[in-house]
Amino acid sequence: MPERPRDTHALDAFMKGFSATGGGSAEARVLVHQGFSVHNLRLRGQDHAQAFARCGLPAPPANNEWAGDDETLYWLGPDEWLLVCPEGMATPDFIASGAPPEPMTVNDLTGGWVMLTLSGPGARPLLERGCTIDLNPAVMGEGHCAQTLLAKSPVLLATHADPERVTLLVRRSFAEYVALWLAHTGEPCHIAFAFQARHAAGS
Amino acid sequence: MSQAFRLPVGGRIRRDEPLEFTFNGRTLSGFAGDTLASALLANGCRVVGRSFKYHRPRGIMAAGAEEPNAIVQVGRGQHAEPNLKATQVELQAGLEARSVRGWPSVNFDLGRINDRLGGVLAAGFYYKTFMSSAGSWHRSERFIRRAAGLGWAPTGSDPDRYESRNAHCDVLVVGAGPAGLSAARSAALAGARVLLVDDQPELGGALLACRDTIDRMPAKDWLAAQAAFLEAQPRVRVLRRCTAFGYHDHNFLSLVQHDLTDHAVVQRLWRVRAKQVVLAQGAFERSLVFPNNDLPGVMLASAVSTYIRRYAVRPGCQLVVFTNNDSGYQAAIDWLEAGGQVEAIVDCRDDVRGDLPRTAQSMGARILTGTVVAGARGRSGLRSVEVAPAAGSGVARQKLQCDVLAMSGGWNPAVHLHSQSGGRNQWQPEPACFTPGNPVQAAVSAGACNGVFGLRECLAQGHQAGQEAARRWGFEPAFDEASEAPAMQSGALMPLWRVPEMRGRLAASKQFIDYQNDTTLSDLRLALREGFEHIEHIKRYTALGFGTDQGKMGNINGMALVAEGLGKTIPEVGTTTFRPPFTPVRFGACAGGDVGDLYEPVRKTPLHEWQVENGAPFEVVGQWLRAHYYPHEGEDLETAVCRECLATRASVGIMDASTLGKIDVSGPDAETFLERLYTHDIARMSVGRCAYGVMLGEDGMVMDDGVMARLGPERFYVTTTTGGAANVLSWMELWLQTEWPDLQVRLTSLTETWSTIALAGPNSRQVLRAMGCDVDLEPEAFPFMTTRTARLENEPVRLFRISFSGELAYEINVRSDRADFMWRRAMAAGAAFGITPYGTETMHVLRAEKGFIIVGQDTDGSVTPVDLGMNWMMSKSKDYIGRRSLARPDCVRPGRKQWVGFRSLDDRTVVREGSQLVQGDTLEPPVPLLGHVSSSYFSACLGYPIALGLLNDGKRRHGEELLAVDAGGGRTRVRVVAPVFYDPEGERQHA
Repeated sequence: MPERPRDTHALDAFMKGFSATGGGSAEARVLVHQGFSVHNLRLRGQDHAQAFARCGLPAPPANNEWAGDDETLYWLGPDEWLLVCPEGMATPDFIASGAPPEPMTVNDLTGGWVMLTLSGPGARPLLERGCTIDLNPAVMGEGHCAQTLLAKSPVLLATHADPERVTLLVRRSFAEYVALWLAHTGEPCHIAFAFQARHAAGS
Repeated sequence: MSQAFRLPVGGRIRRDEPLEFTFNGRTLSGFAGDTLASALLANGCRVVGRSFKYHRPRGIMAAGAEEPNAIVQVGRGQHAEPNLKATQVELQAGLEARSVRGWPSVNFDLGRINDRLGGVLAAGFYYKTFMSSAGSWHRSERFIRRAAGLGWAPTGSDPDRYESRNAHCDVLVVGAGPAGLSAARSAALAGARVLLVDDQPELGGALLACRDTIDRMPAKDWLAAQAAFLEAQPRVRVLRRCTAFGYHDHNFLSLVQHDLTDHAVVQRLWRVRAKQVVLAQGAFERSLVFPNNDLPGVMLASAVSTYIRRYAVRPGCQLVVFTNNDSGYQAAIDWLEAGGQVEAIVDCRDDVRGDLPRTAQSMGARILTGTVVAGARGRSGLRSVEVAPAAGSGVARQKLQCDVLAMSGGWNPAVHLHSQSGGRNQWQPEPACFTPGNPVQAAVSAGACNGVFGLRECLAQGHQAGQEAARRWGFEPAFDEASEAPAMQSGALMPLWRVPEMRGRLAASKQFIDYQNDTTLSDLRLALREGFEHIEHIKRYTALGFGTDQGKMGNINGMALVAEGLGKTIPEVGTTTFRPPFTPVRFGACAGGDVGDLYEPVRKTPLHEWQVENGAPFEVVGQWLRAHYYPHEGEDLETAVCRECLATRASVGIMDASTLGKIDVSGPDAETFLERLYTHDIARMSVGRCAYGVMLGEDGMVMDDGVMARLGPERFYVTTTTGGAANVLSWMELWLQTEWPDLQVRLTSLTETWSTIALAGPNSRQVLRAMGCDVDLEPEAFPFMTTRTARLENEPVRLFRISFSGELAYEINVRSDRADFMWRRAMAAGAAFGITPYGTETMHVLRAEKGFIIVGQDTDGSVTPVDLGMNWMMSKSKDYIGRRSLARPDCVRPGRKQWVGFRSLDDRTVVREGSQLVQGDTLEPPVPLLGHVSSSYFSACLGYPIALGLLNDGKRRHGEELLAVDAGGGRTRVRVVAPVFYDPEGERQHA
């Protein structure tokens, strides 16, 4: 029996069963990322910008915004951030050492999240069908993020300078539902799915 | 096929696109741009349906959403759609339509007999006939439904595809008539993001049938210029064939759009969040109330104009106009221009001096002032009308031959959306109509729906409304001028709610108010005589304003006549409540794409694939799919579960427990916080210890349970039930954020991050060893109810030595993306011990043998921990949520239901869950119910069935015999026992 990989992806079964249509001409493409780590950071009552700077992290300027390239920090709530980095890359020291600067609380959520990047002219119109927040690029523009619902699944949605690109972070057990929703809902406009072997930021 | 009533020129139909369609089996033709109604009129179909109660022949009366009569079934098979208004069905090639009533046919309907039985079938017929004798409705229902019902719905699932969209805009403009177009334009020029919606296939509203000039050009050219301008704006989105049907709180509106271009999707539901709303839906013309006012050929005056000008159909030869205002004259003008003959214009006013009457007169129309139509005559269609003085003696003056009567009783502004938004309406005596009062949301009404009926005024008001809406949202209006139409003089309307009572045959003829429900003037009078006074009661008694048209045409007439009967004013009587939807909306559109596989998220654990490979049937728990059991070849549930139970107790079993909620509770005040939420002493837990915890609601009732572990001085790992995970996290956040913001605690859900593999059974330790566990697993080093970080198969994991089976057991928490790997390794390592995967059913049996509860199965929100015998885990030294409630008199009263076990006396029968417990053998009512069985299984390792449940004063009843009676009447004699059946000393789990 061939050795199975240690890591399995929540969308393995879905990707096996999904016959991609459209391909290069697809109006919306979905890239399924692999190989990234996720950490939840909590910090209250501190100058967080300074605290993050000390850790060498890019601090998003405001709530519901994100910053960074390889390491991405999403500001989720008054005292809550999500750090996404390529797995294996030198994570901030405090994560590697397990000793965050006081009084930061860190939880490793790697393996619990699925990251998808939608791109193409059909990406935002597709999301518009299941997401109630205003996805107009003038409102959700570069560096914005929001915790919201896509159809019936909670998601973290982040927008980029390129208005045709949107990143979705989905809790693992909801990933198949979200993928199925994207596939079904995107059907008329041809949607393509692909795994991205290793997580590369900015893609 | 000839279209005898089609005019040779004119209209907005596309004559180069002829279309064939069928109506009641007859093949007919029309043109692209027709509605089904206009095509039927072009083909001379006068009778298009039969009325609801009296089966009177009915024809098309209106040209829009207010049409009460022309109700049709469109399409066939699963695609059939019942109860559409022919006036709203866009004609398409191959369209199949049928009348929804009329047997054997619409032209000859045996149900017409009801017309003679009018006295029996008057208002309240159903109440009077069927409330008195319960059985009569059941006997008659089938017949009545066929006779009175509307269309028929397909029985299979809907094959059509629907979708929903969310949209946001600065200014939503509802209606693209002159006011709406002006509003959209001025808001767009100010820079606002505009969404313009209109229910027609093309923009224009009333302008589509308008012969006036705007900005010194023909209205149709102005319209084309506006449409082109709006289409070219990047910040303007135009939705055609789209009806705003609901105006909800926070300027949230729902729209339904018919899609004829995208064949994949038939209807689209738009959920719009608008910063500002401009309501410009226009107005509905009122019918007039006179004897036989429902004969085919009696139409709204505006509809006559629309059919002539927009669809190039003149629906007859000889016209009589009956009006109480100037706008009715337009029909006569259009009729004359279309080559028809106008017998007379019957105007109830004495003084007629507006521009329109002057034009009509100059074209040769005869005007009878101070006159009313006293009644209409004809059998299956209008043949003549009788006219009489308005201030009448009840004697008809003369008879006028005609095949079409155009009536205009004034206009009702479409205040529906304004009313739905929470706004009130105010009665305007001058045009005699309700207009929108002050808006209560960020909305403004403009044009005819605001009680402004002149084209010039509509254009100005729309322009201003668009600017105002944009300004309110922070845009600086551009310096553009409102478009202009020539000023028009028009005379005042004279309210006319009914015509004077006539003598003779006409006196006995029905005068319809609500055509769709066959509600007549005499029905209203009967309701008043029987004591109904409130308009909402009268509506329900007479059916006034029900139906697919919701009384858009006749409602105000009804209210005015009720006011007359009660001696009140119209505003005193008021309107009934306007509720969504404005026009009918398919359920399919509401469901959108959330059907089939997407009906609800199906959450799968990382071990799902292995479970599928190994043939496990799944059980739905919350949104999760959990492996129910793992049948071998030829096994059913029962045998598989027996095997799984025995194997686990004898050697080792393995289960996927990943769905349990897992919450990291961290921070300097984590201990204090948990002390307040859980009943046991948290402070006593040293680092590395686990404890079973129960959480109570403020009422003292068990809310959730789970094992928590102390990972550090300021860090806990709390588990919840599968179904309670989200609620418990919200509950915790609620207390932290609203009551105890001073506590420094952070909550992080780890449910998705960690998967849980439970190993249970005497050989579970051996399996861990075989997996290369790097921590000392000896009982002294790693005792029961403790946790350790470890490496298994060289992967970091967290091990919990906890047990939900009463066996020596461990739970492996592993990163979710490595769970599949870890599980397969555990299966390999356990092979030597015959490791047996087990599902939720076996888990239930194993825990029941130990008397462990399942929150939500054994508890129901009325059970305290004391009832469950959990006093041992309720701290006396601290306070916690729900503690106070446990001292309430009802919680301490003797005789409360308590947690007990049951054994069937025959040691064979598995009592059905839900069985009620009673005393004695005779079930002579009243039978006191003493409690119920909440869990019941066959225990393979004990060799007999066991059951658990709640019983009045149960702790003191051990040993008693009772009768368990299930819902099917099955009876089992049971003995009350202690709720622990297996290893009551707990030696095995400590092994």
